[in-house]
Amino acid sequence: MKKNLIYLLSILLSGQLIGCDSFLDRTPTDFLTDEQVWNDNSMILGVLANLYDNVPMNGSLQDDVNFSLIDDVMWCGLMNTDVETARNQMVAYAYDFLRYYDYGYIYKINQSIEKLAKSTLSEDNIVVFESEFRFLRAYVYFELARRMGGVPIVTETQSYTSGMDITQLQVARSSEAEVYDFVYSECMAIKEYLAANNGITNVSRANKYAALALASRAMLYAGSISKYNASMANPISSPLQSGVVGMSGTSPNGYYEKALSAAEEIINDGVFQLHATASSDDFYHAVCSKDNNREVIWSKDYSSGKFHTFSFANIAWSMNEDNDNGSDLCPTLGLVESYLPLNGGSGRLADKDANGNYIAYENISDIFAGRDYRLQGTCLLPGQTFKGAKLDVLAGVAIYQSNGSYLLIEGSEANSSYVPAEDHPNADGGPFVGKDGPLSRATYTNTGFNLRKFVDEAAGSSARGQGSYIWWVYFRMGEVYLNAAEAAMELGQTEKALRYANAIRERAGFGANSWSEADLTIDNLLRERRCELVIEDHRFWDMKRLRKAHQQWNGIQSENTMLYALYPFRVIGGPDNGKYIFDRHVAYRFRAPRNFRIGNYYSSFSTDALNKNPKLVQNPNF
Amino acid sequence: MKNIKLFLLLFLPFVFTGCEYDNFDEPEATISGKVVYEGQTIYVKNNQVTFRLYEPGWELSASTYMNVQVAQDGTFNASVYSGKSYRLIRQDNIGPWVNPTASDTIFIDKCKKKEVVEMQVTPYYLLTNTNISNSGRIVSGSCSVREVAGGRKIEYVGLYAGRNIIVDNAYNFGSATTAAVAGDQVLLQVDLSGLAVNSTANSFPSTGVFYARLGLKIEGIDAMIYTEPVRLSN
Repeated sequence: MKKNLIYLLSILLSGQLIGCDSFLDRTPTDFLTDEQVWNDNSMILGVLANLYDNVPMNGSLQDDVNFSLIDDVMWCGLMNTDVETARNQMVAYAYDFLRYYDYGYIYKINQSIEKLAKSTLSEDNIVVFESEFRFLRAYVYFELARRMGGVPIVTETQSYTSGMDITQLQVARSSEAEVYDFVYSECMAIKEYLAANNGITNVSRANKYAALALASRAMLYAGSISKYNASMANPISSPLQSGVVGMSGTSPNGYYEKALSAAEEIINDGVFQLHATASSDDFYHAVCSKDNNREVIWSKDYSSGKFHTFSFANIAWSMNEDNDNGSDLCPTLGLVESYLPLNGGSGRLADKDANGNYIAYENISDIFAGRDYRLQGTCLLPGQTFKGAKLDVLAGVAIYQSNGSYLLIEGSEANSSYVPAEDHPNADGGPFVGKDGPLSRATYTNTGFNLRKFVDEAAGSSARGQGSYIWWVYFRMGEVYLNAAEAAMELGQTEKALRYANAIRERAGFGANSWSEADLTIDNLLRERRCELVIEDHRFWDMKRLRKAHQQWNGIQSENTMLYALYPFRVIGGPDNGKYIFDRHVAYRFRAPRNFRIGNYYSSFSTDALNKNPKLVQNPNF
Repeated sequence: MKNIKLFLLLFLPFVFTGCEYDNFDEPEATISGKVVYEGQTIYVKNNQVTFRLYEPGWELSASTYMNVQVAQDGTFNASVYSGKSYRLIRQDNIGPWVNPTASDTIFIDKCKKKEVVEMQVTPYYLLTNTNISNSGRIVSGSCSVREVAGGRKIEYVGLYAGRNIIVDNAYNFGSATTAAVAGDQVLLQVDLSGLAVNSTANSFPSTGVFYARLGLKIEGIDAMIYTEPVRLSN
């Protein structure tokens, strides 16, 4: 009996172990094979789309929180202990702030390039796709370099087979200069192939000029780090591996020349042009409007199928189309004052006269009159119209005192009237706090200004369900001109530097040839970049590469480190009854001065990364 | 009913016994010490300077460490285990003193319950002959800048007054700075008479008691070197 059972089992089992070919050899239904993906244009586009969507960013329209730390905007949104500690009361930039070390992303790109080489598609198709992958890889290496310094350059996929010597797979850091050189040479190698993409809708895929713009930006960074690091009192360098940080041992001029020539190639080819502007609205549209836009070179595009909530998060209170939202990021007084008056003079707003007395203005917007177009193209000021509403900012009333001074009374409820009460029986019942605040709480501006750039004009765009389709701008002509101007200035090519800088200033309303040679200083150019490129992820990096960050944001309370607000008050009584005066002060919710330490110039590597790759050396100064 | 009691009796003991893995002993020993130069305490900004404490002998010891914070009076301490070995290491450009060499590593073998170490440093500059006084809420401070290792540019020397003993370039209600070079005699004054008197953060305390000290900033190094805070009263 037992024996029979064993026979039976052995017969049945042997039958089970032999499969029939046709049954097992089937196309899988739950994943796509290499042949299916890499021999099909739309499949490859799908791979690219995923990579484009995951391009590393330091702040974006989908996740805008970081801008309150790295740009001239203050966090005025959600208010709880954790949020305030991390944003408005950040004691110092953490040493791992903006750390980025994603070789998984680079692996995907390398893998794509290798698979693409075996594709049966036409050579013309392949070379464009390959160039796009290489562009993304170059962009990622640029992002790695500006955050971490020199990193291991890996251009092939690595795989481990058992028994292999693991140390072969461990790549040491290249020098910072080598990474920037790699970015440049990749951009130069692929740019002509990418010309096929010049006509892509909304420039959402890399084209020839995106490669050139990346080259220009990377070379400008490399040149300025090389120059300004060496001129520090205590240049940053690594005691563990020379050259991984600080661009030590390089000379800046070669980089500036490359930055200039790449920028000039974009300018001279004329495919993309500086959008002419004659008003602040034009400047807003040059950056934010996709229709007939020739300003923007590479964007992250959105549509009704893939939208973001930047407008929902940042719309001014009185203009919102939802409930309980808006004003997350508000421009600071420091930013507003960096936009200069068109007829010359200092940028400081005239809130008080030389004797320290308040200056009264007939209209609430008069104090801002006659400034750089970009001011109102970027910010919403008290009294400015946007989306059919007027920004209604009023902090309270200023009661005229018999000795000529004012008693400033701030209200605490938006859209309120100054009505008589026990402690002020003679109140006039007029406006007290505006619909938009300013108030020291979430969803109202805390600085007296609201954001305009990247906030959508379209109806319904600030509502939860619909969202906004405004694009994110990676590269645009405004930056290219400023790159060219800075590189030319550093090279001593005054005529060119003036030509490019004045082109930017002319469209801001300053008229032709507004700068002369004496105005060409790095501080002036830095201010132009601050005005032109705010909230486009430039400010922090510009301060870093020019090695100004640790001096300007030194952790000591000052106008440089604190974020200021400008509160308008309505005057009651006295000679200026009914006019407006303005009070400047540190924004109430902002408590801790920006504190950028020497060790913040290069983010720290994680312990995990150091453990996995013993050849990796940690960054210095922390 | 009895069954339930029996059940509880049997299984409750398990509830209160954890498994071994998540029950580590808490550190019972401390390493404490002071930053000194020639036996003299070096004062810094509270919690700005850090040292690294390593425990050698493990696979990932080279990249795993604990940060040890240094208090305003140059003291520091860390909770550790007795009987183990530790290495206390300074980092380059952290602290207003000359960068460490390998021989500056402090070796602690078979750590005692209360291990006391001295972190010997060589500052670039020292502030000596300090004298800080207050008269009518005008604080005057004087000192001379003594070059020790030197070789770095001095950014400024500052006088800082604050409500409590933690007073430095960031936490203060009055400060004054001046440029200086080695060998200079520095005189600084801070006028606190304009401050409101109440109990809020940046006002003059109604008790009239406050603290002040002098500090020196070297270009390119975040941490400043300070003098001992002096208690002053109005």
